[in-house]
Parts: sequence; structure tokens; C-alpha cells
Amino acid sequence: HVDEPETLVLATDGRQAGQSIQWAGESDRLITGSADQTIRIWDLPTGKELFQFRHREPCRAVKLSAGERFLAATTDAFIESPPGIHVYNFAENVEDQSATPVISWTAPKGRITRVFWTDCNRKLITSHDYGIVRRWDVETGQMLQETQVHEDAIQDMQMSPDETHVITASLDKTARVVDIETFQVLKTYKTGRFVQSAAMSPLFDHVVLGGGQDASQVTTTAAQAGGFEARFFHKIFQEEFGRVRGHFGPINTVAFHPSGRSFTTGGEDGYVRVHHLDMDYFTTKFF
Amino acid sequence: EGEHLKAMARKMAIEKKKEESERAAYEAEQLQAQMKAQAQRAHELAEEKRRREEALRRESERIQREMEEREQEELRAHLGARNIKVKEGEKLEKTAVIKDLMSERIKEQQELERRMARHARNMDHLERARREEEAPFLETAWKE
Amino acid sequence: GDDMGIKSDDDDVKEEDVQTQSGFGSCLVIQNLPKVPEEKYEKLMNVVRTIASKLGDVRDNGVFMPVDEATKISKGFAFVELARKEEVDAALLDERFAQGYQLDKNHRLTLCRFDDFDKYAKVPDEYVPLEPAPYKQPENLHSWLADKQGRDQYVIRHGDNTGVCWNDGKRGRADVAYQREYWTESFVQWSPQGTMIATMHRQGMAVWGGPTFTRLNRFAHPNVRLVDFSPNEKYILSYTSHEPATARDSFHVLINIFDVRAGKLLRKFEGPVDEYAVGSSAGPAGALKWPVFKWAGGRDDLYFARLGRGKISIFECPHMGLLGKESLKMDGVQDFEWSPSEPLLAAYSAEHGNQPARIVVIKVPERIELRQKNMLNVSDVKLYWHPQGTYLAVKVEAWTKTKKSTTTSFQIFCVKDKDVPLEVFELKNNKERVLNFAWEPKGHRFAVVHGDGPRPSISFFTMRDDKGRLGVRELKVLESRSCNAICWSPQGRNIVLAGLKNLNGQLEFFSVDEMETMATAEHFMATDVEWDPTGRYVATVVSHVQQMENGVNIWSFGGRLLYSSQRDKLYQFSWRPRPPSLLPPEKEAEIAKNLKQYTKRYDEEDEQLLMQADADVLQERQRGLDDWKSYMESRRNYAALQLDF
Repeated sequence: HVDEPETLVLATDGRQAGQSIQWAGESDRLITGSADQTIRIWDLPTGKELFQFRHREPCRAVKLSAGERFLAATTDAFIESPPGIHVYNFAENVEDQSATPVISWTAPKGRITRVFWTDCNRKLITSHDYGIVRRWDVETGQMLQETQVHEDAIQDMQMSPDETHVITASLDKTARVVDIETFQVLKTYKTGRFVQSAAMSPLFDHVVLGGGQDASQVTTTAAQAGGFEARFFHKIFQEEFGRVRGHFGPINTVAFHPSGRSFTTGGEDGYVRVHHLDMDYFTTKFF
Repeated sequence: EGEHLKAMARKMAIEKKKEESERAAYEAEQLQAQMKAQAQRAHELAEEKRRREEALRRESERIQREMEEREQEELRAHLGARNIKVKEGEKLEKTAVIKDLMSERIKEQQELERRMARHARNMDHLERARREEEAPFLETAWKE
Repeated sequence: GDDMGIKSDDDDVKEEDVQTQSGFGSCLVIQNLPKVPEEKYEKLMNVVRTIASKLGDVRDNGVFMPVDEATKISKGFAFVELARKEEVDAALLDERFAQGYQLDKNHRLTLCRFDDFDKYAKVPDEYVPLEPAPYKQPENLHSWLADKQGRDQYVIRHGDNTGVCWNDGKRGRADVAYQREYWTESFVQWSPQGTMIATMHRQGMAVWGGPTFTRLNRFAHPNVRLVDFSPNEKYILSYTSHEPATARDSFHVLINIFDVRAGKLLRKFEGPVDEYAVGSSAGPAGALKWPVFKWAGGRDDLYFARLGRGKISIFECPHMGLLGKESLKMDGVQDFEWSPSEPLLAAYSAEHGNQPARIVVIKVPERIELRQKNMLNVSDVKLYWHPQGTYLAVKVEAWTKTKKSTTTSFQIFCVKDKDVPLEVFELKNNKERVLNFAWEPKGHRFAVVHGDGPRPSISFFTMRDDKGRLGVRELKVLESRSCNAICWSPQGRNIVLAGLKNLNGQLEFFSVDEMETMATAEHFMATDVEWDPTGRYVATVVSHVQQMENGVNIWSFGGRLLYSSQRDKLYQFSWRPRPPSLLPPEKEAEIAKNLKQYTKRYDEEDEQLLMQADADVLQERQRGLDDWKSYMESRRNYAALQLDF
């Protein structure tokens, strides 16, 4: 298991939007999946590019297996290619890295937005457009299970610390907690806005949701109209108990600090905001 | 002859000494005058500065006083608007008054809320009583 | 008991018809699919999905392939729900499917409309003689009026769901009284006294009522677009317009009038749209403005009327014939409105030639002119009846001498006073734009919104002084408000000033009795404000015209937020109206006098209720907590395994 470091690194290749990132090693390497049709491995802290996996489609989600021996990556549908899932060997030493996947397979239409290794690296679970989550056998690429847990695209999926459930963020204006073994929806958080990202506190039974109006429509209304606050819900009671303002564009991503004492939001407005939760948050009993 | 020369020399020496001492005295006098003038100027400058500062101080005091007066007036106006009597010449403490006014405001707000709650309760109860009493009429109307 | 002439025909086969067609218009059936066991189900499902995607825009989760419960083998057909009805029509004409779609050598797939499929599937294999429907005691249509806690209902339509809820302001929640998916195909409409609710379907409308919302009647009007009840719910009007047969023809209007109880069609009105879109009934581009027919006020539904060219045609109930066999001739008539309380109509004829503009109040059926008023240089006129029929306010915009601007004045007819005196009044600045006018529903006051800037003023006036003498007097001006809507409480006394839509949902709850602001608040992006029929609660709504945050906030009359409920794709919210009270006035007075006695009892009840509500919430939370704990417990081994790995 990798502990996320307490520094915040912003990586850009200057060309196309990065879609997802993943820490590797002792936080000395970073893997990015990008719309420029590459997956890259970077050296930290020099920021030097170490390796590049090239695809003919935009790359989206990347995830290392437990133990970091394999890398799972997803690609979007592009011209003739359907959406794809690719598994690579992940070499300890970058000189030994191969650009050829161990196995690749295709998925039904719609973006594959996030991927996770589960069940002792034997299976992958993925989140998709149309609100679908799927389970795959890593060795055969066979689809094992498919469940629609949302009414619209799942934009983000984050794993609980104990890896028993995920939180999904969807354009159906809700976030949900889903059991990873049964894909049963355990909790639903209604926001009335597009949810782009959702994170679970490692400290309390709290979740934080970020999102807002569709980015393409933001300019048409007042900044306030987008509802660009990060919103705190009680994980079990599904009730909202707080909002944190700051962004003037939709929030695209939220993440808790591993300590649960602060959280970070990345917005369409181009800002990354690190929010330190004040004393009240830790002392107040919200319900 | 030698005597005369000696005397001359002495005289000249004396003369020279005298001149020197006179010059020294004059120079000393000049210096003293200069120093005196300097001192005088310094004094004048200091005086000028003091006066300016004094004026400034007085001005700021005046402003301060005016502000205070205005503040007092405002506070009085605020209190007056709430029908609170203030004794003539009584000095009002700003923070205290603001605190008072705030608590007053809160009290009013609470009072309004209480009134609203009472009003709401009355409206609700009246409506319920009317419905309760209307029920038999409805019943007969329905049977018809 | 009296069954109000409503047939108990719920066992009728046609019922199914109405139900299925109500929601599945955009549904197709793919037939002749292979019948596969459970293991192959997913695979076939993927094939079906692929085929379905060629047919059109498939709705999320829009493919359903039924499985035989016993054998777990699929039944050989699948339902496909497309995004739009038009796509179904297109799909049925699709060349690739016209001759059947060859899936493999044994399976040639065919398509049909779900509604047709259902119709055929419902045809019984053998003829079964109809059993006579057992007589059912009709449900009490007034039961909702006698709620023990004195609550009121509202209907809320969101997504495919329509629900009727009890508003429980005290406990800050809504309790569902009835809900149903695909209850209506377009909208729902309460009858004016709330006795029933009308739903719209392809074949016509249906009305529902009683504690469980059983269907009371159906009215055939294919593709009905709009409906309108008579004030006392005896009749219902429905409207459609039809495409012209040839390009030269204009749109064709069809309006049906039914007897609500008997379900009988009483009369049809048909004709080209320009015959109906006259004066104030004409919208932009010659469209028709609803309602075309306006109902006379009063305790009986006696008359209804519509505007014609130079005439008003009044029809008489129940035979629906033209009153006195002749329309009311009125040159240049542009608009008319009935008094809400009696058969009295006010009409406005525009100025033309030497004829001045004219406003006239006419008593029906006698056709007696009670009062008239002539005016010159009139540019526009609007008629505002007081909801109790005591006054008629006429807003007159007249051209100035230069004809470059207009001034506004109000002519107020005091209809209930002897000889119908006329009060004329203007704002201090009569050149100012008047944005809105609203009578206090009970009482003698009115509010005017005026001003040319972005923040208008609201002025309150009264028609009478303390001694009841007539005369317009200004009471108060509220300046510079970000307000584009004013909503009086149905009981009067209180008003909500709202800045809706682009004004971000600013709300000011104002007491006109005390002339003080009770509260200011915001319901961000609110699109509508609606008072409950008793004036105790206010609902503010963000409807689907806004992309986000759809939902309802319920406030006390004084602006305290009681609860909010989020509903995505919120299409409609409306309080259930109430009929006028049956209480005799002396009884009302008695209640008001003895209110203390009631209050004591109600206070106790309320306390009990709130305590119970608190306990319920706590219990619910505890249950949530327990459930979560047991879930985590059940997953402990799995988590440990992951951790060890």
C-alpha cells in the first residue's frame, strides 16, 4: 500500500487534459492517463518523463494493482475502436517496462471513467457512462457482472479505506455508496446538481461531494447559480450538514487527505484548493 | 643701535601678538555669534516644529472630538429611534451601546419570531377548529 | 348513497387500455427472439441492446427482456423504450426491420408497438361472459377536507412520477397520500374546488378522487391538450387543435364540453383557429390563448362565454345553447371577464373611428348595462376583478398628446355599491410603468408594482377608510425591491414579494396588516410561489425550467423555512384547492370566540405529535446506524482478506 505524500503535485504535459493520476513506488513515481492518447510514467520530484504507453484512443483511468505488479488502464471509444480495458505488467525498474499489454479487452459503449483492482487482484471493477458498474475477470477479460447503479454517467468512483465499498458520483445528481461484492446501492446522496466527484472521509462517517452546473453552461448564469460548493453529507444518515464555498466553476474532483483533517478540491475554474477543516468540524457532533 | 633694533623687533612682536590676539578674539567672537545664530535658528526651527505638531495634535484632537461627538450623536439617534432616553452630557460607550443595540435587535427579532409563532399557531388552530366543526356539515352534504 | 352518477367500471377491460397507453407510447416490442436459459441471458441481452440502439435513442435501462419465473428461460421477446414517441414511428418504418430482422437462421425478429402488443395479448383466448360488476359504495370525495390534523394536500409531478402529498408543516415533512408512475401523459389539473384531479391521456382525460384516488370518470378527446373545469365542477372543457388538411387551410380547433358526473359529451365547438383567436384570446402569431371559454362566477355553473368578432357569445347550461339564441353584439370588443361571484361581465371595446374606447359592466342573463365608461386615446386595457367580485379594476394605458409615451390610470368599478360608483386613480408619477396589479383576495386592498428601473416599488392602497367610506387611499410604498411577482395570501393580510427566475429567488414575506416585513429569505433560482389554500403556508418551487436544484421549499406564512424536498425534473406543483366552507357565519363567529378551548386541546395534540416525530427521527437514525454496523460486520472478513493480501 502506498501512502499519499503530503505535498501536492500538479502535472501537465501541456497538450491535452489529464484524466487520472496514480502514485507508484515510494511516491517517487506518478502515472497519468491522458486524452492525448498516452499513459505516462513520471519521475518525482524531477518531473522527468520515464515511460510512455501509446494508444490510438484517449486514455482515461489508470490504476495499479495491490503490490504494484500490474497496471490497469482504460481507453475511450475513438473512431472505430470501442472502449477498452488494458492490463500491463508494471516493471519495478523502468528499463524493463514493456509497452505491450498482457491482456486487453473491449467494453460496451460509453466511457469507462474509473477502474479498481479488487478481490486480491483477480478482478477489476469499472464505472461507466449510463450509470453502470461492471466487474471483470482479469485473467480472461470476461465480464462477470453488470449493474446499473445510477440513472446517468458515473463521473468518479472512489474506494473505501477497507475496500468493501465505493462511492460513485454521477450526472444523475446523486452520489451513491455501492457494495463492491454485490453492487448493491447502500446509500444515496441527493444534491440537485451534477456530481462530478465524491470522496469518503477516512476519519468520520462523512462524505464530501463536488460538482455543479455543466461546465459548458456555466458562463450563462451567475457564479452562484452553478452551486459550486463542496457539500458534506453524513455517510449513514444521507443528510447534508455543511457546505464549503470557494470555487467559481464546477468542482471536477474532490479528495480527502489520508488523515481526514483536510480535503482538496480541483475546479473547472483552474484552481486547486486545499481546505483545512477547522476545530469545530472535529468537535461538533453533527447528528 | 642694536637696542633700537631689539626694541623694534620686540615692538613688532608685541604688535603681532596683539594683532593675533585681536584676530583670535574677533574670530572667537565671530564663532560665538555664529553659534549663537545657529542656536537661535535651531531654537526657532524647534519652536516652529513644536508649533506645527501642536497644531496637528490639536487638529487631530478636534477631529477625534468631532468624530466622538458625531458618534455620540449617532448613538443618541439610534437610541432615540428606539425611544431610549439619554441624559444630557452623558458620555456613551460605543461598544456598550452597540452591544445594547445588537441585543436589542436580537430581542426584537426574537419577539417578532415569537409573535409569528403565536400567530401561526392561532391560524392553524382556527383552521382546525373550523374543519372540526365543518365535518358534520360535510357529512350531511355528502349523504345528500 | 348517491353515486353522483359515476359508473363503477374499474373492472372494465378498457381500464387497462388507458393505463398502458398512458406511459408506454415510446415503447416497442421485439418479437421472435431466441428463448435462452439464464447463462445465456446476458449475452442475448447485449445482442438485443445492440439491435435496439439501431432503432433509435434507447432510454437508460430502456431494454427489458422478460424471463419465465419458473423455468428461468427468457420468453422470446423484449421491450425497448425509446427516448421519443416519434422514434417508435420511425423504427416501425425502418427498412432493416420492415421484412423482419434476420438474427440467425431460426430467428427473424419483428417489431410492434407496445400498445398494440398489449392489446393483442389481452384478448382472451376464449370468450368469458362478463360478470356484472359488483356494486361499489363510492368513496367519499370530501374525505380529504376532514383531516384530523387540519393538513392540506398538494400534487407534485416529477420525472414519470405524480404524487399527492399531505403537507405537514408542523413536523416539517410531507407524507405521501397517493402516488403513481405514468399517471398522466402531460399534466394534471385539480378541479377548482379540489374534489378531483384530471389526468391527460392520448384518448382523453380521466378524473380521479376519494381517499385512494379511484377513477371517477373518463372523457374521450384524442390527444387532449388543455382542459378547464367550470367553477363548481359540473362541466369540463377540453381542447385540441388539428393540423390543417391542406396548406391553405388554417389550424382547426376542437373544444368539447362534458358533464363531469355523467361523463356525457354535451357539445362540441369546432372551427378554424382564426375564428377563435380573437382579441384577448389571440396570442402571438395568431395562436389561441387558453381559456377560450370563460365561466361565469357564482354558486351555479350557469353560463360560459367566448369572444367573437364584434360580439360575445354566451352559452347557457345545461343545454349549452346560445343564450337568447343571439350573441351579445359589441363593436370592436377586445376582452371580457366574468365577475368571480355572480353572472356579471365586464367587457372592453377598443377605440375606432369616432367611437371612443368603452368599458361596460353587463348583467346576465338580462343583458342590462350596469355601468359604462368611455375613454379616448387608449392604447391598452386590462381587467382585474376582485376575487370576491366586489370591485373591478381596469388598468388603462392612454397615449400622451405626442403619442410617444403612455400614462397609466385605474378605473375602479365598485360593483357591490349602489349605482356602481367609479373610482379613478393614478400613481403619483403616471408615466411610470405599471408591472403588476393584485387585489387582496379577501378585503379591500390592492398592491401595484411600478417603476422603470430594475428595482421597482410596490404600493399598497385601500378602497375604503376606517369608516368604510369609498375612496382610494395610499397605505404604504415599499421602494426599490428586487421583485417581479407579488402573491397575496388567499386569506389576504400577508403577501410575498418575490424576485423569481433571473432575480435569483429573493423572497420578502410582508404583513400588510402591520405594514412590516416579517422575514426576507431566498430560495435560489425559484420559479414559482404558491400559497396553500388556507394562507398558512407558502411553497416556493424550482421547476424543470431550471437545470438544477429542482425542488420545493415550504415556508410558514411568516417566512420560516419548514422543510425542503428535492425532486429532480420537477414539472408541476399545485396545492389542492378547497371548496368554500360550509360553516354558517354564526358558527364561524362562535369558533373565533371560543378558540381558546380548541387551542388547549390542539396544543396537547401538537406536543404529542412533535414528541413522536422526534422519537421517530431518532429511531430512524439509530436504525440506519445499526444497519450500517451490521453491514460493516458482514464485510469484515472480506476487508481483512484484502488487507492481508
